[in-house]
Amino acid sequence: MDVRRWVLPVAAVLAVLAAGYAVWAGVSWWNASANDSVAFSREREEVLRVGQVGIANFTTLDYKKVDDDLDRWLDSSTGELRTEIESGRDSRRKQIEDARTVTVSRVLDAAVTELDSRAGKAHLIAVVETTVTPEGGQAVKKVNRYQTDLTRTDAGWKLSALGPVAAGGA
Amino acid sequence: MPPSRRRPVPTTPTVRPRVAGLRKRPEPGTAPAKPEADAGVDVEVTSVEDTQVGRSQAEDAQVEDTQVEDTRVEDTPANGVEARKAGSTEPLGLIEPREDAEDDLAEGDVADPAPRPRPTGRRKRTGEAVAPSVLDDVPSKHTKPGADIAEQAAWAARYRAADVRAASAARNGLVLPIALVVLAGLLVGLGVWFQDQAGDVRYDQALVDSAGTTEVAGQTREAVEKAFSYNFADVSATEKAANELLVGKAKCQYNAIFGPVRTLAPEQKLVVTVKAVSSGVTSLDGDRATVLLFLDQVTTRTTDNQSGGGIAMMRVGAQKVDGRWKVDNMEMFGQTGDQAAETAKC
Repeated sequence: MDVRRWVLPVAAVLAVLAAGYAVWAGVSWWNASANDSVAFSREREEVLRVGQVGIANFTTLDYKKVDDDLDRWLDSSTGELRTEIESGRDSRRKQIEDARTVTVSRVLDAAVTELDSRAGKAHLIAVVETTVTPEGGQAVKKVNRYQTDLTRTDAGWKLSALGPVAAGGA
Repeated sequence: MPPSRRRPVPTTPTVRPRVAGLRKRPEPGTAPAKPEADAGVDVEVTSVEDTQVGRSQAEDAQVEDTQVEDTRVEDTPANGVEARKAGSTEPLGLIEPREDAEDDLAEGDVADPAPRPRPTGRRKRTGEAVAPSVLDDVPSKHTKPGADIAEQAAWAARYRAADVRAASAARNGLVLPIALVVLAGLLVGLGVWFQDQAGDVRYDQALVDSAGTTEVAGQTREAVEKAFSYNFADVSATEKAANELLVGKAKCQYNAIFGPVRTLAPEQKLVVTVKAVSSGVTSLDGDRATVLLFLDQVTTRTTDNQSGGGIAMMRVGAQKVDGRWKVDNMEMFGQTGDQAAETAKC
């Protein structure tokens, strides 16, 4: 019978403590997920993802479906890189079709080296393994290093410059 | 001594009970604690009676007993209560147990035709250590001890009903606490989930912590450049760097990668310069980091001044030890078969 005397206060204290804990945990979650660092980190990851996909797109082409590949290039580029592709499209297509090779690439590793999220500019380096298969020939694997500039557009991040990192400097 | 003589055996009944109580155990505790002059006198009387009046012990006891009987008869419950009240103000705690016993006896003798155990048992329980809330229900039944069996049964039934009522009341009283406990449990669960979510929000510090990113990139660069650069004229610089800046698995990997160069270098008088042309921190978490390095290597054979160059891409695992980033893992991209096999052994 004594139980009734202390059960209510104890239960009330428990409930209050639990409520306090829940509030604290909720606030810490909110703080953790809503700060600038997290947003910046997410942007970095997005740049990394887009950069990797973009580089893989630009280093993958099949002479049997050049137009598809070139459309893909256009789609993942902006600025200078895009105008370059548009202007040189015909000659490039011819080049690829004449080579009659199938080139497949994958990004082995990549790192965002610079990111200015306010200006919407980023720089990325990547290690790319390229497998070139000439028609009827043996596949040749090569590992290359690339760097790319990315620019944020209304449709997300796009590649604005792309090139290999040659010996002797970036 | 004079007062004792003036007050012999015949005494007023109201005083007597106390005497009787004292008389049962004269020595142990009564003598020291007696603020009342009266009590002191009484004790004197008894001692005198024992020794001087000269009656036989048995007779004395008998007389005492009868006197006690008398006083008990007169000692109606009310009287007893009064006496107890008076006694409670006095320090004579020894009296009380005896009076209690008398009380019980009197009740049992006088007014309980019905089987006694139940009422007395209840009385004892409720009277002593029951919460006031329960006592609220009790008094009505408590006044009934003298009733006949039927009435008693009715009372028992009523009591049981009251008991049930009390139980349901207790249950009602427990609803809120139980609800609160359940609420508390839910809140704790929610809190744990929040914390879990907060823990999942952990993000990569690479670039976010720009100072830390610059530091780790710079130091791993330096470590790799120094460990892989080689001048036949100053071998110790390379060895020192490799020993200080590479730890764990990286030492073995270093030997696998650099071993061939080290065997050729003295005879060809090689000067190998490795420079990181580009570096990017891919992850940074506390004292762990991974860095992607683009390396340029220039090798000069001083015997005939032939130069060659090469490029390399290396993923470096770095660990901060004593405030400095050290390399503990190295993976070369595009390694030749032999080299890859050697490093794979590490």
